[in-house]
Amino acid sequence: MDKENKMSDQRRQRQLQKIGRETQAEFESTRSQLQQRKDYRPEWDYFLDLLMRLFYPDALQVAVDKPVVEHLCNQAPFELFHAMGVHPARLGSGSFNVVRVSSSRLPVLMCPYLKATMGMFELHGGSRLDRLYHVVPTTCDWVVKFPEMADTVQTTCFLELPHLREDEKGQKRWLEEIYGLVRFLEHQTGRKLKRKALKASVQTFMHAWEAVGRLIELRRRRLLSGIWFMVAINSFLLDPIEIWTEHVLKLLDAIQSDSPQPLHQGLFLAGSPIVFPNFKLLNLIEAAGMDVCADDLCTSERIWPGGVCYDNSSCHGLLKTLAERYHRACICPTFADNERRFNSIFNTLEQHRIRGVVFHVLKGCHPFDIESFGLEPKLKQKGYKFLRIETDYVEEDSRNILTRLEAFSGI
Amino acid sequence: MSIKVGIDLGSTAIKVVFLENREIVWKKVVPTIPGQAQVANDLISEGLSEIGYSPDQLDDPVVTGYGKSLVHDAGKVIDEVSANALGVFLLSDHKARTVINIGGQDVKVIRLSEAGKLIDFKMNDKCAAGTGRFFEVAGRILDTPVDDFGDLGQSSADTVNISSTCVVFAESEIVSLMAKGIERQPIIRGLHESLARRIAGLAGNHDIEDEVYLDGGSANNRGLVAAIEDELCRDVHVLPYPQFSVAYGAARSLDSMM
Repeated sequence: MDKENKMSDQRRQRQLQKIGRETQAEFESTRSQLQQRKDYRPEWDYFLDLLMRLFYPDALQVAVDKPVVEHLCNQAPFELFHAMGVHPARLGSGSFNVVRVSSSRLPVLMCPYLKATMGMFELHGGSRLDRLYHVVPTTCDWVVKFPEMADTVQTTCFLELPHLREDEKGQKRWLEEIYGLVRFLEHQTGRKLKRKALKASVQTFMHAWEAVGRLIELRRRRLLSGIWFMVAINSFLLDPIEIWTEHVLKLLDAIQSDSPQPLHQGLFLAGSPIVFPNFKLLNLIEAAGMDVCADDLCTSERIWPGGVCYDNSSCHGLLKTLAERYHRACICPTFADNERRFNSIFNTLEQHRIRGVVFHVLKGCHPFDIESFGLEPKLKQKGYKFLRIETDYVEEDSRNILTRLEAFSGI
Repeated sequence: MSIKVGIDLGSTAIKVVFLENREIVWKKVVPTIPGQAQVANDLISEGLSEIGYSPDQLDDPVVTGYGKSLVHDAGKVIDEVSANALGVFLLSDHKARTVINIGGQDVKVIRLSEAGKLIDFKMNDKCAAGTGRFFEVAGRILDTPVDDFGDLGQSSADTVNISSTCVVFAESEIVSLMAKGIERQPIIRGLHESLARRIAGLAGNHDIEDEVYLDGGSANNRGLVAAIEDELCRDVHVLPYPQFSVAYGAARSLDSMM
């Protein structure tokens, strides 16, 4: 029996090594393809290097030189982590290969984004340095069950997310959860949250948001492609925020000094998250002669709700403002009252004269799936075109998707 | 007089049409094999030889279909949904408002405006249920040419419920029905009804507007047409040569009037 277990372990190790090599190749190949694009410029290398940290998480650890707190989703205020002297790192993987690490032990119809995340978690299980804890807002069912599947319940701080936002009770409860997070971080770090530190963090992230705002503006004017925007924004928080912001500003200067030419027909991309190296849909959209000039993906334009404006700079005032911002501005379909999201999409379409929405649904992603059915008739009623693309972490449906995108571009 | 050429490089069949004065003067369909571009060129040569025209009388071909990017000397490339919409609209004398195309590997439901413009479409995901593949697999199990399905299905007063939407599981279901001694005819009728339900589910009845046209290779199957009519509760029309409407639409896409 011992011999059998030993052989089984050895096989498993060989399997992990093989998948690890293939996943590494996937990352490097996607990076290389981006560097071969006509619109590539050397300023992108910084961001591409950061994206490789999604495969080499220890490199992130070394770069930030402080404890890393892994989190799912975007509802816990990043400024708070920053003020407490820890670095927030979002868990999430776009690797098709790494899904194989854990797929045999997970439901077939599980969200592939989280399957891949689980796979990456297991692949790097042996080299987790200072990641002592995790923060998980209770968004969708898969996210809620992830710590159990990853066996990290003991080191996870759950934030019970009220699923009604336009409701005073929900807002109060969320603020209580944020206070709970403060206590958790204080306990784990042995430090107290200081008002000055929190205020400074808010300012730091405000600068970052200003830079991102300029990137978004370039994108709206069709002067920055959807793929490159995703490269920049996916790399958010894969380096100290101050350094990242500096590089975004340098990039902006470089792009704007070039007087770039406007790109293809623009469209709005909504739905399930997209993260490097899974740029399949973005590549197919380009191949169909279109480009994403706006989105509300939680791994892209909505990766964080933007800078906060406070009128009360006490610790409570800042925390309240952050809690409100992160809760109410979140567009996750897990919320029961998501009219705000629909309105935001309509406003963007109207203001920037974007004619169509492509709604990306990952198989097994029920909240976004349901929401697509609600959004479609509303958009069509207002004269916009809408295409729902349901896909998985596979390549074999690329042809089918391209056919649909090509037809969509002609409508 | 120049001849317009439309090539539809489908996943299971390659179709080529020659048009003169907007009429089809030659057409041919062959199964898709590797080397699609060469097959298409060979078909063009064959067509020229049969109708007695020379290559310089041909306009540059317009190519559509899954394999369209493989033809490097195409005059124009057009997506198959747009080509399908245009082809059926023109061939139906501008009457078509909804086109249901059952291809080898996909099913499309296409909506057209009164002016023949593509206004919306739905297409199946990567699953082959409801496509021509469904019938191919069934034909093998039943040891019956797919071309005979129409008459055989309609000749049966009885039907059986084929509940599987998956082609692979439907195969198992057919085998077990045959093992129970059920004749081919009701099984084939059941297949038609199963496919019709699948198409109706894809279309969603509120997305269908009369007049409805069915095209693609399976449209010649009268039993299938009847089943779809019953499922959608409306008439479904089939054009002559329904397998060539996409290639026709491709060829006509260069018309200045369009």
